[in-house]
Amino acid sequence: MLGDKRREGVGWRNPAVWAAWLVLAFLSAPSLIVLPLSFSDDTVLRFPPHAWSSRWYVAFFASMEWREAATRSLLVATATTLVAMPVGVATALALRNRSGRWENVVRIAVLSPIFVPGVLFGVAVLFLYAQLRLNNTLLGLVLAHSAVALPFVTVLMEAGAAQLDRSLEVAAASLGASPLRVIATVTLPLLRPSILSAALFAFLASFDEIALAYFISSGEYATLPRRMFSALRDSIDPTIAVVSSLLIVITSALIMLTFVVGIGQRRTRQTGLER
Amino acid sequence: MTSLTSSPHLRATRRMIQIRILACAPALTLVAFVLIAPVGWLSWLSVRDSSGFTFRNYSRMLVNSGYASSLETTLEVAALVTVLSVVLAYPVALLLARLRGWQARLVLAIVLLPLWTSLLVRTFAWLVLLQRHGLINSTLLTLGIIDAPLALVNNLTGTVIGMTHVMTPFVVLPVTAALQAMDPLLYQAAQSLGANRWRAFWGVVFPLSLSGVVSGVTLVFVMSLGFYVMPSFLGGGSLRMWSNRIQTNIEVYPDWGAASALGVVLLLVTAVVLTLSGRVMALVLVRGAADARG
Amino acid sequence: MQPASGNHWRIFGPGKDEQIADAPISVGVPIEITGLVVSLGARQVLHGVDLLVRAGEFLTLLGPSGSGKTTLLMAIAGFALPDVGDIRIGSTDITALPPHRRDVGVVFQSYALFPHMTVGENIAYPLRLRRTPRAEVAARVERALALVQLGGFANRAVASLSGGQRQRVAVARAVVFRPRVLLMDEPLSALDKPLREAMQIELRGLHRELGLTTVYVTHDQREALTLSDRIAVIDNGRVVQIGTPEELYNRPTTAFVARFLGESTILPVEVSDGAVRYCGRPIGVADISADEDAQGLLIRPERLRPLPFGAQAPKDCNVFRGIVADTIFQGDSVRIEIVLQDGAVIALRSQYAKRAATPLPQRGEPIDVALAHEDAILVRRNGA
Repeated sequence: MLGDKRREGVGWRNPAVWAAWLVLAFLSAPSLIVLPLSFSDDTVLRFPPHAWSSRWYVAFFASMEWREAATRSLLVATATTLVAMPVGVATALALRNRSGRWENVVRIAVLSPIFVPGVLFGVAVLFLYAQLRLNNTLLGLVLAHSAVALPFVTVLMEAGAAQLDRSLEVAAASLGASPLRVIATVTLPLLRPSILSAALFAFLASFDEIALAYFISSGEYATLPRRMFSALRDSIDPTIAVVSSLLIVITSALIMLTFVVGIGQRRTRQTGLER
Repeated sequence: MTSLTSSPHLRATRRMIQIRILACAPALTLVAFVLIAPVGWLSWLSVRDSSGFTFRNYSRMLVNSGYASSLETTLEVAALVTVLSVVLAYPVALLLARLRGWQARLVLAIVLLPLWTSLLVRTFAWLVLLQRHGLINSTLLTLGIIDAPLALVNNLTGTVIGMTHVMTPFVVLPVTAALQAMDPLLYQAAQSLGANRWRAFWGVVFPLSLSGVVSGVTLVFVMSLGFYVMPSFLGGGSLRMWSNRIQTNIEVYPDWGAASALGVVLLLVTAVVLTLSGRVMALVLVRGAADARG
Repeated sequence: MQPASGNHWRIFGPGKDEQIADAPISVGVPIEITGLVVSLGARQVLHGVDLLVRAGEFLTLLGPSGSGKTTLLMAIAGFALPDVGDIRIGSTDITALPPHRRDVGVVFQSYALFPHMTVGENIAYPLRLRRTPRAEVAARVERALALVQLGGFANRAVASLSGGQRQRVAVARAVVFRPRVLLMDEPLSALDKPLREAMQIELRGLHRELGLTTVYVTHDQREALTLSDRIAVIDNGRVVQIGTPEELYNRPTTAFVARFLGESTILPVEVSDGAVRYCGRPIGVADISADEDAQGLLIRPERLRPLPFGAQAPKDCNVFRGIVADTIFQGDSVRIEIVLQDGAVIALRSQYAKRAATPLPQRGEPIDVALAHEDAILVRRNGA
């Protein structure tokens, strides 16, 4: 009975539903503009394009600058994920289910990269790296991006860990598993969906990151977003559309992947709680 | 024999605390190194120059009227973006809260997708759309709704549109969570007592979702304050937000003292917003609990 | 499944140092708890518990929720750490040992089966932790499954099992590694009644088969009576009374124990100079206990016998006279509530076998009931 009422709320008779779908269209449309644009034959950005071709795709893959930037971003994102994940998972496991004063202080500290104004963060890091000569280095980027990714990893892992059935870990200990063994054989395997989501978010957070990369990576050491920034500012040609389209397609595929994986895993987690 | 002072309970508890501190250490070190220390250092710099202590960087802000107008613009943009985001996000949150299963996941994916599309991709897309010869102007011209192209970009309008597009998902998520936590029967109860849909919404649903709205508003407002990449493209030369000033001070001059002073002000404004939001949130939660107790 | 024999561990195959044809190995070790004080957070839950569980016995910790019985069990398992006190298993002092080194098998109320492993992997888990060779693991897992009547289930997914089956896997997992002690925390409470009663019988058989020292927690008195060699009644963090089911039922020391096990009515009596009086009338009791605080007379409803009207009081019986307040037919027995002269209400339970033989007493009828001296037990009134 309640289900009927609920479905009534999402039907097409409800004006709020119309509004919702309009907003959803607003949210997704602009990104989609980019796709046809990348196949334009013009040298100027015009929508809709006068003619179609794949020349800009060719230009992109042929350009060493773009390839280098893409490679750099991939490298940094991977390294960031490898750094942020263990650090974030450890922190999340240490903090889970506890809200004492110190736990909250740690949480705020770990979340601070989100709340500090992006431009200030960038300037601060630029300044620090200028002293340490870490500007335009892989290490510098990875460290900075790890700090950016950390809040996402920690929040996602804490949420996942909070849903975990503690009795499973207690049982593992009673069967002879030391605390580390428990984490390795029970906790982490059960957290697999959260781990995958967190890793994906960490990767994307680094891959798309521009606020910091603007300051600390430039010229031949530029990341892909940094390169795009320069291209946008200097010469707006459809190559940018190509990069954008590729990014959209890859990102969407990865997001869809988490949802598919998430469906499969949710069932196993629930059976730990069922009678 | 175990005694109270060295009981296994106490020893094990102490050990656990040590392990937990150890587990948090890398994260804290990283954030301290990359963010907290540099920002602190920078703030220190804002009151120093070659001859020692100085408030020059701050007094300049009070004297030069351009700074005041920048701050005004920044707050104005942030406020506009926040309000628009909430208005746009709410229907989506309502829909999302009521859906189940694969439909809910689909809508969630549509909401999250722009979040993970590169900011520059979205900036680019809006540039294309909002140009004088862009899609929106061409469509409106063709339909005869306007006679001349609208100036939709390189100004406040374009910036607000672009930023709203970025921020709306950030409001959808907390509001959805708050709505989902609400007992669905309350809405039905209100209707059965005679309230029409509109009044049931404003009287029951909206107040209960306030905690989510406050979270979303805080997040969006604070993020908008520090936004500089999108405004620098969509705002053109005419829009001077606070964050752009910081950017210029580093790129063009580079004046560390001035830039860091600007940064400190921004940080203070952020802190004020966060504190206010905390107070409002506390009020909302207490009010909510009191209402629930009747 | 092997029949019970002197060598109980044959079920799991010979161990390294065992010979198949040897004389029985002593299975199960005693658990000795001394002066155990346990706090959860700031609240003290156990106030100095002393308990001896004999080798191989099935001891039930029986009590209401919040009494501390689960905390006591968890203290033995190592998850509730004592502020003061000792726990010894056999000759080993385990008080300071972390749970994963205590070698105890625990069956949890929610079974806690690992959802990301198959049934076989769940049971093999403790063996793998102990670095048991793979071939032996497979054999022992299969034997443990056979022990709980789940032979061949090794490759099944946990999600595909019913509640009863999961319970059995939990038991198999807890015993496969030959723990010295088995702890069970209300393992049957999630099952429905018929299944629960069937499992009780099975657990009883299992215990006889394995001979493991078992500590079992429950709030269900019937379960406690069915399964236990001895029962320890726990209330407010203390052991109130410990004894065999018969001892606790027939000779409870406090009103609390009396009420927890079976039906009871407690009448206030005065005990002075070796005589017991109720409303001034003398009462013959089973024995005047040395306990000065025993000021309650326990009356079990099934021990009261209605007297035909005008009949002579039988020998060695106390007679109570009252009016029938209510007669309740409850299937296999009838419960008759009687109001005595001073207003107290006692209950009589009669196994009403034949229909026409004696008509049931009606409301308002006067009735005499007899309680044999040996069935009149003195208990402490306030249950402490």
